[in-house]
Amino acid sequence: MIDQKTEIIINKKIADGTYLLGLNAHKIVSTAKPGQFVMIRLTSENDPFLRRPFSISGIREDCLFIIYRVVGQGTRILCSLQKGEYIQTLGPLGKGFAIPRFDQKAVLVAGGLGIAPLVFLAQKIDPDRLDFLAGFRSAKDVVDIRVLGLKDVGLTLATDDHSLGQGGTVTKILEDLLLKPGQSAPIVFSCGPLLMLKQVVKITKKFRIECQVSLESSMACGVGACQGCAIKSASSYGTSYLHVCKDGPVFRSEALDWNKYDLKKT
Amino acid sequence: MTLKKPDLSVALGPLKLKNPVLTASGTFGYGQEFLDIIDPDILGGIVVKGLSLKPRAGNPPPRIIETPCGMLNSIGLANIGLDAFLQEKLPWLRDLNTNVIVNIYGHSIDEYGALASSLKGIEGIAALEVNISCPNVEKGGMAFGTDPDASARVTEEVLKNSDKPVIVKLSPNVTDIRVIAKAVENAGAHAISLINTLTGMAIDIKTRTPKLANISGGLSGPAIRPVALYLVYQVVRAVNIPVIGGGGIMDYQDALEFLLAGASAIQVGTAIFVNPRAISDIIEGLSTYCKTEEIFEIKTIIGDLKK
Repeated sequence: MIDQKTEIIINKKIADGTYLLGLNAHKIVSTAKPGQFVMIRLTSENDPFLRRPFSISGIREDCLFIIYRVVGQGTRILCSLQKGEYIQTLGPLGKGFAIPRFDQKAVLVAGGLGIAPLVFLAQKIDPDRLDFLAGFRSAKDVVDIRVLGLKDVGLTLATDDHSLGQGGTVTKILEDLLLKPGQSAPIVFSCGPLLMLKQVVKITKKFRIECQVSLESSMACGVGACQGCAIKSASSYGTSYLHVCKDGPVFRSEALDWNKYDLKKT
Repeated sequence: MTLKKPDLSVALGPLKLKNPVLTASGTFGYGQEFLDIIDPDILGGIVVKGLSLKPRAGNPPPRIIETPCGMLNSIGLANIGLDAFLQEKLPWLRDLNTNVIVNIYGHSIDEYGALASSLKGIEGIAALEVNISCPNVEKGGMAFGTDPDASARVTEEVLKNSDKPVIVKLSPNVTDIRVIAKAVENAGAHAISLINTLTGMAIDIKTRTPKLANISGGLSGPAIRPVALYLVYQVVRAVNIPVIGGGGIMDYQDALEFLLAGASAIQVGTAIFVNPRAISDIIEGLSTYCKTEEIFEIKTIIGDLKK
């Protein structure tokens, strides 16, 4: 983990309210793996106070890329920053995805900005063994995965309002894909809204296939010191928590207690 | 003329620190979490995460919420418990070239005593910090720290069972902190640290629910600094034992304010989350300040507040 001053080399809008940020972060990229994240300090002032966690969406040479959506005070500041400005970046943090073996198939299931860590993972998997399912609300929200150089990947796009790609949900597409006869069991990698993740976990459980999910959480430190990003573990020995920053953000689905994962509170 | 390196050492009663900078409990884990960025040996001391006799899972999430210039937390003293601390953390901590201060917490007065007793005679622990001020636990914690008699009884019980200097950490959530400070001093505490977090809450107006699952939490960060500073100022004038000041310290200027108010040492906490290097920056900043101001020993500015 390195805390470094990083120069912004690109910060452009790529979909409705969605941006691609590129940082010159040579020290961080040298060890960054798909599924890991960085904590960005948006201001040297005290407000907004905490750093913000962002999944790493890709690396190229010395550059680290992040796909983010403007959702609050922090990301509003971030999207106003210009090429050539500097921000303090801490990373790479957390445990990433366990990359599938060369002979394993992988299905990536993204909901909305859940695409952020998965585009990095997709770069590490043979396109012939990869299905990438990406769901968005509407055509205006769709992130073109080619922005990060993913060209030959078989992408299935779905929008809730049928405005682009297939209509309906990625979870339905996932289920249909797994139902196809004669397939070897893939590993499913997923990131997105909690409702979608719960559905993905249910489906993969039904088909008895491995599922790795990437979670998001509010965080203060990002390194396991504050214990703020607790999440209920599936452990049967009383109440126990894992921490999204250190034990995750990528978890095997069976490690978590999905019933105790509160919708209202996330 | 070249000035020699200023002497940053301070004393907390029997405890000597190479500089006045300590980490606040719960913000620096067990010293290992930030190792890639911060060498713990530079510190005056590490106050480790609040320790209880048995492991504690802590409160349900969400546990942290950002607030203007600060944050609310309701961690609930999640910790690995005494046995795991002694087996997994202390051997590593013991080898550091800094003071390791163990923050202890109990449900009952007896439990505080039992913890102190279990740590008796154990090498590598420079002092105990008694947490009678956590706002996030149902039993113990702040329930003791808001009552002068209970504060004194906990302090006595720990002292009776300990062979180490005892620091008592006070809560700001009281009517008159000087009453608690005096009670703790009379009970025999070697030093006092303050402040723990201020109780607060935040509400999500969309869901109309408290943002923290625990409803309330402890406010920390620069938002509370003026409150902390004045409480330190008051306590320093009420007692004759050393005071460790903290609450929202972000840089060396903030640290100096506390020293000038009379704190013999300071604790840096929430700042570490935002900028782990705040600790080393503060130590360097204090050194540079002393050089520039031609202060040879930092202890000479403790309480040197002009009217």
